[in-house]
Amino acid sequence: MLVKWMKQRKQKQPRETIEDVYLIFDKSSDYSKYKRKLHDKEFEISYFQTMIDIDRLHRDVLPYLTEAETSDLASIIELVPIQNKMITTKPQDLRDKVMEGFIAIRDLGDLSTVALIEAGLASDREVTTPEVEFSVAGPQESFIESIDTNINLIRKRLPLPQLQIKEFTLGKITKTRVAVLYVEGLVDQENFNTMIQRLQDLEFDQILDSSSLAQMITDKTMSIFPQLINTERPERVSAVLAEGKVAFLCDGSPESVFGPVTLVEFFSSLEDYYLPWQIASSVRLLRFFSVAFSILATPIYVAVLTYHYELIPKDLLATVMASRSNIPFPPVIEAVFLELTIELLREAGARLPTKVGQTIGIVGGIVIGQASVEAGLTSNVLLIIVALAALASFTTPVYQMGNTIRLIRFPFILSAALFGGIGIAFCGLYTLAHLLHLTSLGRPYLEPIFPPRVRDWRDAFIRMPFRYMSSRPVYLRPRDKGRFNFFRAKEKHDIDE
Amino acid sequence: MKTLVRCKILLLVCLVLLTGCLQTRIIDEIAVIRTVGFDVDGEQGLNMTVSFPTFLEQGEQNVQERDVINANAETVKGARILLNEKSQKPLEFGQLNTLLIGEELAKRGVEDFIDSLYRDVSVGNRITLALVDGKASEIISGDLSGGEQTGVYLSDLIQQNMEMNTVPTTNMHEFLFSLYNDARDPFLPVLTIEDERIGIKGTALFKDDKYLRILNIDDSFILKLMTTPTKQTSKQFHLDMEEEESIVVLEKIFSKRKRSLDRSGSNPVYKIEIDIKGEIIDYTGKKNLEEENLVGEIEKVIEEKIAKRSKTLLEEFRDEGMDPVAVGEKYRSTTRDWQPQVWLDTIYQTVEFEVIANVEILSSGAIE
Amino acid sequence: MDKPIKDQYLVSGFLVFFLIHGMQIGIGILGFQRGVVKEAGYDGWISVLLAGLVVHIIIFCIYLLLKRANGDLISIHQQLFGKWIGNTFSLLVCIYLISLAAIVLRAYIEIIQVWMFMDLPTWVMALIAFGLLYYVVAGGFRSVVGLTFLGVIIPIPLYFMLLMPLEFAHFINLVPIFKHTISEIALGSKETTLSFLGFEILLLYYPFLKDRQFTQKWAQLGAFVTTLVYTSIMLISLAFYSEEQLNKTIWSTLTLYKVVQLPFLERFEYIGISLWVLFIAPNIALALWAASRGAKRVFNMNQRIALFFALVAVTAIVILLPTRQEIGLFGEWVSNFGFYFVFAYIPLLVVIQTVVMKFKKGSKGHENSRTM
Repeated sequence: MLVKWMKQRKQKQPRETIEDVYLIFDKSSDYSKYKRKLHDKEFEISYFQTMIDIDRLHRDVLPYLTEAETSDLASIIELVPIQNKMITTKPQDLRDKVMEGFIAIRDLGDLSTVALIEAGLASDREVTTPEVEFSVAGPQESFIESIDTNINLIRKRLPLPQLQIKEFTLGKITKTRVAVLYVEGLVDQENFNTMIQRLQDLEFDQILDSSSLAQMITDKTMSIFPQLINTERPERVSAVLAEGKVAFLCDGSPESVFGPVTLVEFFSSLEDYYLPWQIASSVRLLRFFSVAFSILATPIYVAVLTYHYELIPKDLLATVMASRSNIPFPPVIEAVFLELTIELLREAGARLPTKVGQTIGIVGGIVIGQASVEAGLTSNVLLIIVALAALASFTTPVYQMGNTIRLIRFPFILSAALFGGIGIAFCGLYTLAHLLHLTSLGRPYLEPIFPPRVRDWRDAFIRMPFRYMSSRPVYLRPRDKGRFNFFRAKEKHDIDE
Repeated sequence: MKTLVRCKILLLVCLVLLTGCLQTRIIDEIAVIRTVGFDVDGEQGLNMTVSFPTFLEQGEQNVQERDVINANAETVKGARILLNEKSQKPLEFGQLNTLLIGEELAKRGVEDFIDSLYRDVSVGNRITLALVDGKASEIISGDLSGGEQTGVYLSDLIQQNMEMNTVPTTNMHEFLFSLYNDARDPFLPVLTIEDERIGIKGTALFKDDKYLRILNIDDSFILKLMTTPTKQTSKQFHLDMEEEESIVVLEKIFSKRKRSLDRSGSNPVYKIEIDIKGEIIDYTGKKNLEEENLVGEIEKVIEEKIAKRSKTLLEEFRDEGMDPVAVGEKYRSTTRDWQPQVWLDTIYQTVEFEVIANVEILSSGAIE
Repeated sequence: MDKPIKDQYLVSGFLVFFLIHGMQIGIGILGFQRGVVKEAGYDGWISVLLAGLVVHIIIFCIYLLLKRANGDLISIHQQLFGKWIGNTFSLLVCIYLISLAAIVLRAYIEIIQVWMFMDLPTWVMALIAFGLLYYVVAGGFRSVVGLTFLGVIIPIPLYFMLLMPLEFAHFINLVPIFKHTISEIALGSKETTLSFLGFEILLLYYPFLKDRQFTQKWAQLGAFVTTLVYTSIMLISLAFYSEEQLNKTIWSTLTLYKVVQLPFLERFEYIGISLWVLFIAPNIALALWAASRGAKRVFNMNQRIALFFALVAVTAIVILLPTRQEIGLFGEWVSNFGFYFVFAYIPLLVVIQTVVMKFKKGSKGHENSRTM
């Protein structure tokens, strides 16, 4: 329906006049207009009162209109101390600008030209601390919904003329401003072209947020794995731009999206760079371990208890058997039941206000877990495993990846219930094959694991000290490869010199 | 693309429906056998006893109990079928811990029973084997004092003794290794019931797969010194020195052995050199350990004792035609013309033995 | 006629190390000891070393062939035998590769059936493998190489687990060495054929390597590591088992895993078998890729369709081999064909190529120098 309507609009457009636009405006009740006599002519001032700053209108616009010496439009607005103003004859301009918060002034004697003066209402919130990607160390700024503020936040960190911005308007209905950011001289032209190409070719009527836009331009839309990273931290964007990546911002969205990225990057947090490298590396390894644990723990429990009781250590056997002995369901039902409970708690917690959410988490976790063990519905061993697996899945720094990890657990559980250890292995193999197929802006997703690039291992599973990170990631093919002179950094002084 | 996805979903559904019937072995729906015992039943028959833990629900706590089933048949497979008929849940051997063999049955030969378990892929390779002085079923169904977890008790008891004490180390793999080796004979620890408690009695010696005789605890220690290096064991020695009889307890005994075969003479000479290091923790003699030469004397007495006994044992083994110390293995390693039968029938009988023991007592305890 | 491969499909030259090594390690490693020991007894490890040495020579031959022809096996065949006969030979090789894939898959399914699920129907496993393999191979050569690479890297811990049985090792078994005659040792080497096969696929993927002329060192290194792995496993097995025990044990390497015990894991072999799929899948995928690539080159057909038919053939063979005896027999066929193909036919090809080149040089002079 919508598309059809848009098409009809398009066909009508050539015949549209300024007057038509005014007629459309007139239908809205928040559109206000009044006449004012200046010199000898009658002018009409009109605007959407919900879109403009009334203070500005009375302070900066109206007093200056009367001071004009002649009565043509150009001289009338000349004295208005606002930079963004224009005179146009195009109905298109009129419509777009007034919708953005411009004031339209026209001479009722000459209906073909309109003067437009910007007096938009800035309704932005303050720059606040990041909430999704919270970190203890490091800057505490996060993006807000205004694209200009966001660009400002990035530019402050990269005061370079080479930081360039290419802007589009996307979305037939939402007319969202999208800005692609890159550092010229660093970025690989091919990556940049891929990003621009995909954005330009996009035909979708509404762009609500940068994360939904990211889904539309991603390499393999059928994949469950995110192939671009969202972030709300300006310093992360500036850091990746300086590596040679491409990022985009979307008006109305407090998140930026960048690429190309690799799977490993989803598990690196910016905090890794603020902490000493030994600590950062161990935390990173812990995260990889917790991902593996989160995906595999419950499936292994199911497989072992359904098929491979031989694997249980002999001293643990009695404990496991005792915990299972009254439970009427097979392990898979038990496991799925508990996993779903945890997901339910998480979802309920996420939908409710913070304080209530916390309560739900604690009450639900303790009460339901305890009660289901006492009622003999689940074994306490499994309860521990599932709770730990859920906890482990929350260590992933990128929210989208965390969701993926929680979801791919279920196919693993099912195949473990069907084929035991073999099922888990096949599922794992399928996941690996899938990851090998994936690309991010055309660059291999599994890099530096495959294709193996030893240089990039310096900042993959562990984070080496900065002195060893002399080159930018190889897979980005940056034009300028080196960050600093590695050999000079390696020069050693003698003792006491 | 759409049809491909549809095909995949169809395939998945098919698989789920068709493989739902894979035989599950859910842990609480099977009888997990921890101990198996074999005994004789009449002339030819076989008596098989299994024990597995069960759980009784009592309020919120599950009380662990033990169930024992017993069946008579001609073969192991037959016995397993009969056992299954008597069991509430299917019997599974995957967590088998201990395998006990009755004395009478062992005299008949044990290869069939152990081999049948070796062929069962679900049975581990590290399970503990032991011979029972009497009937295996008695130990399995008897009251295991201590109230420890069933199944683990026996294997813990034996393992502990192998690691810390007196009997030479063995398990199913090593038993089979020796059994299927043409230059070696296996041995097993022997369990017995004494004063209503189960204990280790000694080591059972086999010729091929047939039980021959038992070595007492002291001789088992000597056998252990001759077969494997030991760590952290303790041992008590009776010393008959000139002036008095006394008892010395050595702790933290580390031993190494070196074996060599001298074929230059008319008869091959098999030489074992045993190095023992230990600490005295107890000495009942009247003399002070600080006294000069006393430690040296004790060392000498122990050396003689071990060397003498070792040599006697080796000669006994030779005369009985069995080879738990793996003399043949050493011979095999020095010849390109290895014929097991010739070795066993003629050469082994001519082998002469020489044992040298070096005892070194490191310090005489922490407390003076 | 031979279109050069587009740059974006090429893989780095050193990856040939993983391709050779990954393709050789597969199902054979789980039970090759028994056959060798039957022939060469405790000298079996010498047989394995010998076989490894021959593999090095054959890899040298393959590089000689490929460098001269500057193409793959299909173009070599066409250059030497003309279009029709050459293509027939190429087709035979494709059928051999399909059989190789099938025997590996069937053997793996058999292991699952023996060790884990007695009642697992063969066709269920075959169908799952069908889907998975199609997905992998349809991703193209890069995806297959990626899987091979991961299939070498991820299971490395499995090798270290094989050091744990050394607790029960009796290295005295090994001495004296050379107790057996050279011919017995050579026969033992022949028994390892199926385990060492797989590297000959190099004949088909060679044009996909970057800087391909300089990759021989990597290929040789890959084969060397394989030989090293096989020899050390052989040595461990010989020290761990007594001779008669080894004769009784069909899957000796898996039985080695049986004594591995970790604090949180009573028995390791089940994990080992499950993870073995990481060795198996790249094996089959690479063979299937090569077979479908060969078919594409011979018939000028779409590789997807060729792959589909190859997979159908593999699945059919797998399902039609129900018992251990039949698997053994088929395995023997494949390994015999492979033996003669690799160790007789390839050196023969080198000879024929030399002769043909000499002949052409004589008649055409300098004109032919580009085929060098």
